[in-house]
Amino acid sequence: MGSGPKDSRPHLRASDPRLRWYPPSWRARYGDELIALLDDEYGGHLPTLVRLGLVTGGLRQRARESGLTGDSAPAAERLRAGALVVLTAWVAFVIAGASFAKFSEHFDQALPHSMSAHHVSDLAFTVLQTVAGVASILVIVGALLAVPAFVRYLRAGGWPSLRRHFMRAFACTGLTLAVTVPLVVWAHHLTPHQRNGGIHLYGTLFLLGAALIVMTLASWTVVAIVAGSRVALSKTVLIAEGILAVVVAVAMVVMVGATAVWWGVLARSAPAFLSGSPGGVSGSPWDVWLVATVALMVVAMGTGAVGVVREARVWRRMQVD
Amino acid sequence: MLRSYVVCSTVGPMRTRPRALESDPPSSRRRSNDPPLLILTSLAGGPKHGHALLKDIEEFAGVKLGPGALYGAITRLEERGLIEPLESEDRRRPYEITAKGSEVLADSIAQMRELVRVGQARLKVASTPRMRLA
Repeated sequence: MGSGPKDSRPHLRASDPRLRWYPPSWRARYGDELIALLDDEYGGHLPTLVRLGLVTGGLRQRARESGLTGDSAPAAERLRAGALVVLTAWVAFVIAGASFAKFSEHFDQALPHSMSAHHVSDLAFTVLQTVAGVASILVIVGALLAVPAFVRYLRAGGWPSLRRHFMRAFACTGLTLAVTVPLVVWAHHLTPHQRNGGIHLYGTLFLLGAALIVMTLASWTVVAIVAGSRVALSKTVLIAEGILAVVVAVAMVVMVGATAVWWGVLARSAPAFLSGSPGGVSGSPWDVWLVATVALMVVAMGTGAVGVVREARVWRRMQVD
Repeated sequence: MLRSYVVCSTVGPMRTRPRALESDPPSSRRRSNDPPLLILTSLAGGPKHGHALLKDIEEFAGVKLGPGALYGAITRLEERGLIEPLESEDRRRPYEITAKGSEVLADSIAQMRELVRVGQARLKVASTPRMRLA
């Protein structure tokens, strides 16, 4: 079965759809053998469990090759992978932060005239905003540090490997702008009541716009990850990126703490605000929107911690070596 | 020996498998499933390609590895220099165990042997009072 006419065309076998989950370099090295094995064992029909095994095997191999897991990738790759994990976590945190910003609009008007409640919640909110601003600047600094390497990569002919991801991100951005810009213009002509559930069409379009913004952020994150994992960064830049990633991960911990304090104060002093019943004096502090938002923040924080632990292991190993 | 064991292998990740009982029906018996160790053991008997490896492992260990798991383990073993590919004009590339691979396999087997020795000794001690009570 193994020596048919297809055998003289290894590049075609390596692109066999059964191996689409494996990274290209792995397919080039082991693809032919694995396909020969699949042909020998199962002929033309792969059982579902085998298909699943190929999917998980391919994803594991991608994770190993990118330095996300295992020790086989060079230290620089593992360090870079840790920083990219933190970047991904940061994007998720930004989405949660935007949701929190919308939820917490005008919270200070809902608080009673108690000085301590105002003071603590304002302080927590200010800390949250300040740290978010600083962390955003650090992420931008990290991106700027990688720009020279990115330009070198493009000049060396790297564009084709990024084109598909860029096009997708541009398309998402265009669609998002097409929906959100008219929405913002419309919103300026509406009363707060109309914006907050008074007009169903506006509410639906708002949700659509939010979903598109998330999709756009995700598509640009994919661009950043694909580009970030391919450009050749110098050791100095790599270490700087690693340090920035650690600071951003710590910032996420601080922001989750500040959010928890804010939530605690509001739950005690103005639960009606959290339950979305303006003017009321009581209510549950467990609003679904807020719970989902904070859950996303915590997940992002945990993901960031995973990236930092990955970096720390590499640094420790480098010091030992 | 490889049919059921608890081993902290130097080849692969730690695998913990409850010991199968002889009275259990064959389908319910737990088998060892440490692909790198199984591959090294198979290759210790001579070079083999993927299909032959699967058949051999199924025969001597009762484990049916999936192709994804097999090639994941082959990749790691080759990266660590424990196995190496042989020249082949066919798509089925055979692999052979290296000297380093043989060393690592011998270490793993020694660990298992020690585990079996300690386990058997402790089981003997633990079962003696119960037998007296009975």
